[in-house]
Formats: sequence, C-alpha cells, structure tokens
Amino acid sequence: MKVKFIVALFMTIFVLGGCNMNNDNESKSSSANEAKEFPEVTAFQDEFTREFLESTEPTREGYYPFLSKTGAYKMDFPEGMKINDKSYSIDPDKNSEVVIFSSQNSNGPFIDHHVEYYSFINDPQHGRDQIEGRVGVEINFEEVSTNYDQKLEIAEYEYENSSGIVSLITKDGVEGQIQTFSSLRCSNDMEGNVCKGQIEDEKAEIKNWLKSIQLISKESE
Amino acid sequence: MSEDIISGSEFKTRLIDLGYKDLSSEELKFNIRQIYMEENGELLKADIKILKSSDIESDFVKDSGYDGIAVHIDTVEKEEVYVISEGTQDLPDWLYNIKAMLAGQTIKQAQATDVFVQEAKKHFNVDDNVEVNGMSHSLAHNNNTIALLSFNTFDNVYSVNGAQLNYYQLFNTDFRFNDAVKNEFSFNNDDEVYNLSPQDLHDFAMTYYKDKADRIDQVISTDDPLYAVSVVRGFFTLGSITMVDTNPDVPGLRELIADIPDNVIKEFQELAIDFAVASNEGGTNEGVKELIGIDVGAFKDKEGMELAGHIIANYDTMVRALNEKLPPLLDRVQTVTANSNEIFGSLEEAGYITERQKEVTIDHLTRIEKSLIDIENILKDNVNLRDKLNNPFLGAGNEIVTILRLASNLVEIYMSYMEIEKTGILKRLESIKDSHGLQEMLSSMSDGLKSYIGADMIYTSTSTKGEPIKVNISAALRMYQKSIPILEAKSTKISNFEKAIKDELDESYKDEKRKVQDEINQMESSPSSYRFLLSKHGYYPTFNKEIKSIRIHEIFYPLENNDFEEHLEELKKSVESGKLYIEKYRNAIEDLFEEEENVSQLFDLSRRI
Repeated sequence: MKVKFIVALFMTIFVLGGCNMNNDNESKSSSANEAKEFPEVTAFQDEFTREFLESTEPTREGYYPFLSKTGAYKMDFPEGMKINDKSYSIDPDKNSEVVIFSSQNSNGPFIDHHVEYYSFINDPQHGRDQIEGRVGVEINFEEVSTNYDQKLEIAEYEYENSSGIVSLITKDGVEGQIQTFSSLRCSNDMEGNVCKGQIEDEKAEIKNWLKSIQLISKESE
Repeated sequence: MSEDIISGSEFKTRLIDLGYKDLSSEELKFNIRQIYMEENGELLKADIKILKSSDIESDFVKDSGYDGIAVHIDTVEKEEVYVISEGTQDLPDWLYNIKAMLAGQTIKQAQATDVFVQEAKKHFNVDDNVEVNGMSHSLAHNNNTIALLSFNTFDNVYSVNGAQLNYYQLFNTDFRFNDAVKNEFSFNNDDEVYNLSPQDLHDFAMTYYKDKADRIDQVISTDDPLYAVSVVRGFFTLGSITMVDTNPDVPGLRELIADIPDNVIKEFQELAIDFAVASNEGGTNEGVKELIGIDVGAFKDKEGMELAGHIIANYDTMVRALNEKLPPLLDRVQTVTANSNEIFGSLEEAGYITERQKEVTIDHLTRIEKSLIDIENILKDNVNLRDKLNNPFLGAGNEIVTILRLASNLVEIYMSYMEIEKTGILKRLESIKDSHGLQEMLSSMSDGLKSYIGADMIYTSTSTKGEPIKVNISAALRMYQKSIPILEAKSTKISNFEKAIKDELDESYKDEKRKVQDEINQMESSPSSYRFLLSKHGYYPTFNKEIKSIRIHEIFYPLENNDFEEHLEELKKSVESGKLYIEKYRNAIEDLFEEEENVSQLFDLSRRI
C-alpha cells in the first residue's frame, strides 16, 4: 500500500505540475451572490469563515456564534475577522484543530488569533509549558472566572514591537484542551501613538472574548 | 560534557531501526545492550529503563497518532534519555506528510512528541539537567525538530532521511519567529506570509535558527525521495548534514524536481492544500474527489458492467462534478503529456525505468489524455442541455448514447492504466522507496572492516588469501548466545527424563512390592481374621472350622527392561557435542580475524548480557 502511494505521490507531482485553478473565479462569483443574504460583515462575506458560523443572529454586539468542526468547542466569533483557510487544519479523526483568524485592514492594532484544540493533551501543566515554549519568554498564568464550568488561565507577554495574550482552557471530565495565542501589533506606517493607545482596550476586549470559548463535553452533545 | 552514551551514526541508526521492530521492553533493553556491545566491544554498564508511548494513557496513541519509545540510560556517571520517534510507516503517515510538509500545516505530532517526552521524564524521574536526545527517521525528524525549536523538548536531534522543517509550519507555531518574520518583512497579518518570496523566507529562517542548528544532526541519502521533494518551496534544511549516496546506480530525483519552476510548484502547493483541506474533513477519497470531482472510493473495485451501472445510478451528480473538475485536471495531464518525453526520458536516462516502460507509458498517457478530452466534450454538451431543461433525466435515447460513450471512455482510461501498470514501471519505481529506508543507509555506512546488511553488523575478513570473507557478526553472536540456553534447556529435559524413569519405574516397583509384602505379613500374623475365606465351604449347620495359621511362599521377580543408561548417555553426549560445535564455530570465525580485532572478546561478552 505505502509503496504504491509513494510512487503515486511522485506521479502526482508530475501530473499536477502546471495546473491552473481556473474554476476559482466561478466559485467566487457565485459566493458573492449568496453573500447578499448574510450580514454585511467580514466574517459572513468570507465563504470559508461562514462555514463555521451557526447563525446570522449575533450572540452579542459584534460577535456571531462559532462552532468548531471537531465539535469540541464553541465561541463568539468577531464579525470583523476572517479565518485563513490556508492555515486552517483539522485531523481526520477530529483529535486536533487549528483555527487562525485575523482582523482585516484595521485602523487600530492588527490582531491574529490562533485557537488550537488537542484532544490528546490532558495535563494542564503540559499545556502551560507548551504555550510558554512557543511564546519563548517567561509568562505567568492567572486563572480567570468564566461563565462556564471550566478553567480559563490567561497570561500576557510583550515583544519589542508587539504584545500577546495566551490562554489555556481545560475542563474537568472533558478530554483535551484549548490553547489560544493572540498577538497585537501596530503597523509601522500608522501613527504610532494612536494605535498604541488602543492596545490596552483591545487587550481587555480579548480577555473578555476568551471567556466565550466553551469546551463541549461529549455527553451533553 | 562527556561523550554521549550512544555515539556514532551506525549505533544511532540501528537504535532508530529498533523502534520499528515492535519489541517488548525487555527485548528492547537486551537489543540495546547487544548493539552497544557490538559497536563498542564492551558491555554497557548501566541501568536501562523503557517507556513506550503505548504505555501511557489509553487514548494517547490512538488520538495523537504518535508512536515512540523513550529509553533512560543511567551509568551512574552519566544519565541520558533517548527518544526514538517513529517515522512514516503507512498511508495515514504519508497523507500527514503531504499535509504537514507541503501545506505547512498541522503540528499535532510535534505537540504529541512533546507530551510524550514530558511524560517520559516524569516516569523516569529525571530533571531538566538530564540530556534528552531525539532520534528520528522520516517524518519524525520534522516532528522532533519542530518540538526542539518550539518547545525546547530535546537537547539534540539525530535523524536519518528526515522530512525537513517547513518555515510556514514554524511561522504558525513559534511565535518569536512569527514576530521576527513580521518585523523583517514589514507586514501585520499572518495570512500575508504566503505572499512573501519563498527564497527570502528560506534565507531568513536559516539565519534565524542558526544558533540552534548545531543541536541538529542529519544523515541524508541523495537518493531519498523525501530529500528530492524538499527542494520545493516551504522547506529548509537545518543542522549539520552528512550526505550519503546510498544507491550509486541512480543519480537521485532531486535534480528532476529542482527543474520544475517555482511558480509551478506554487500551484502544486495550492493544490496540495486543497487536497489536504478536503481529506482533512473526509479522508483520502474526499481528497481525490476534490481533484477529479468523482467519488472514486465508490467505484474503485468495480469493473465493466458494474462500473457502467454505477455510472448510470450516480449519473447526474457525476456529470456535473466532472464537468466542473475535469478542465483543471485535463490541464495537468496535458502538461505531463506535453512534457512526457522530458519527464520519462530523464527517468530512463537516470536508470529508474527502461526504454520500453517509457514508451508504453507515454503512449498510454496520450490515450488517457484523448479520453479525457472526449469526456470533456460529451459533458459540455450534456450539461448545457441539462441546465436548459432543468431535468436530470433527458430524453432516454440521447442519454443512453451519452452514458455509453462516457462509460467506454472511462473503461479506456482504466485499460490504459492497466497497460502502464503491466510494464512494471510502478514496481520499478519502488526502488526509490528503498532509498528512504534505514537499511539502505546502514548498508552504505562502513568503517574499516565493519559494514552492515539490514541492521546486522558485518565484519570482512582479509586475513585469508583470495576473496575477502564477510561474516555476519550480529547473527553469529545471536547464535552463540542463544545456543547455550537451548542446550541448557535440553540438559534439563534429559535430567527430568532420568528422574521420571526412576520415579515411574524403579520407585513404583518398590512401592508395589512393599504393598504385597505388607499384605503377606498381615495374613501371616493374624490368620484368624481370614476365616471368611472358608465361607465357600458352607455356613450352617457345620460352620465350626477355624484357620490356625497361614504360610505364604513368595517369589518377587526383578523388574526387567528398565535400563535406560545407554539412551541417557547418548542424549547427554548430544548436548556436549552441541556445545562443542558452537565452540568450533566460534573458533572458526575467530580464526578469520586478527587478535586485535577483538572478535573473541565479543563472543565472551555476548554471553554476559
């Protein structure tokens, strides 16, 4: 089996070389038509992002209900953001899912969110260590109360030109955990102080938003 | 720092090879000691502990797909952990390869590697001062190095024929790198990274991770297909690299792939992402469906009429899907057929395929192209008609003709594929796969009189005249080692047999004899109690007789046919001659080599493991 596949892989490299994706325009124009029925916000205008949104009714101002494709968690999705389909990943057995979404042509700080779910990492200590490893600087997690029966731990870090908020979400009796990474940066060509002045507000908003991420226990599905 | 307990490429490669062998913890310990003894000519004086990924929480391996073994070696002077991560073994792994490497996506396996290493450190009760070495082959190299760079999981990584790091993957994983890339190239959102020049990003990644490169050691075969693929955009080869030509008959594929222009590769990469996204959600069939629009899973086992039947049943959906997906696929096939002389010509020149295989393949690829064009034309007409009438079933006569033309084209394609397969070209290309394996790599590692076949160590004797003699030392030692327990088991069986003869024959004869004697004594000492024996002479009215005395004249014949001495002697001799043979065999091998080559010592040591 594997031999055939390797050979097939090579054959495909040759076969697929020089492909042209000429059906792209078609699908985009059709989605533009459909988009008219949806709210006039970035999240709904983007076809890929729309696949995750459960309703056109906002959960609260500026957010729409998001359900992950693993079915492992829900959250409020910011209306001005778009999921990057190139970096989205989910494994076939639904044991991991990585969603990366970003603010578009922002006047304030540019924000990237990574929300990553792993069903096979249970120990919160592993989660905290991995997050700290990936951020590369020492961070301190603080537990924050949430609306749900789960544990949310948040930490902040600063780089020279950007800041970040990371979090770990775990729940007793539910396998797996969510690790989130949010980075905020001001563009070089923007009035530095205007943007920097907004960073703290944005951080508060992100910390509040993190509370909306809810791990779903298998039984309650 | 003193030298690593496990040193040398050969030892490390053989250790990685052990990871694939599905051994129990005890067998692993034994094999590690054996290899250590073979490689170093001395016993490993250390305590070894093993933790396999399958030993921790029940769902970990199933959910993460991670398969690995942690080995803790403690020599009192030095303590080290070696983690052997398994590489690409089967189809799911190769799919993961495509996703993780070409699309620069999921780092799930690197996360799992990190979790396993942390669990192993806890299990072995070692702190962060103990050196942790990652050992990897194939895909595991990608996982281990991402874990090293992002989580600091390992102190060092050693790999053979590894899947290289992908800078898009690291951009999404290592946030310091992410930040540095954004600063360097002045952009703000993650998705803009795909617009950067691959060469610039490659060079930046190499510089950025330069400081950690000395912790990564790689041995790569120039013939490894994975090495060939890593020429495409996304990859960077980090660490100190030793290139080995493991298959001198062919030049390797890398140059063939390097000739494909970057924009073509970029399109291929987009396609790989499409494939990955689709197969992420629905498995391989879904991925293929994304490419050609047809659910091949549903009819890959069908032929002839059954195939036609399936086409009829799913006609409408298939026609529409094919119509949408066929044009881009046809373009790709046409790119191949247009360049088939170059592609298959260079494969032939390089010795991968024969001239006949080249010709048949080109011929049938052209036919496949023709059939695809034909299908495309049929569909174009048909779908237009369908849209106009808004009816999935057109006029029956018209429809049947279309179905027949479609089916005959699909059958043609299938037949052409069979013809290509019949030339054996696919089999022929299998040799490419061997160059990815550990054994071909080991075979090309040799050091003086030492070389390898499979994972066994070979000594080449030059002390005799004529052709050099190759001796499989690993196998010889195994035989020497294992013969003793076997001969000892035989000895035990023989003495059990001896004992059984004594118990079952001699002892029980004595027993029976004693029982009879007891009965005799009983009768002689109390004759009166045997009055009932007279009963047959009548009871009433004449019953007044008594027994006064009983005298028994006994004769016991000796036990015969119980002499097994001769047979036992024979059996015992066979054990002795077995031992003699093994020693002779050992001496014969020792005689092939000079004393300073220490073969004799290896034999001695092998029995002390």
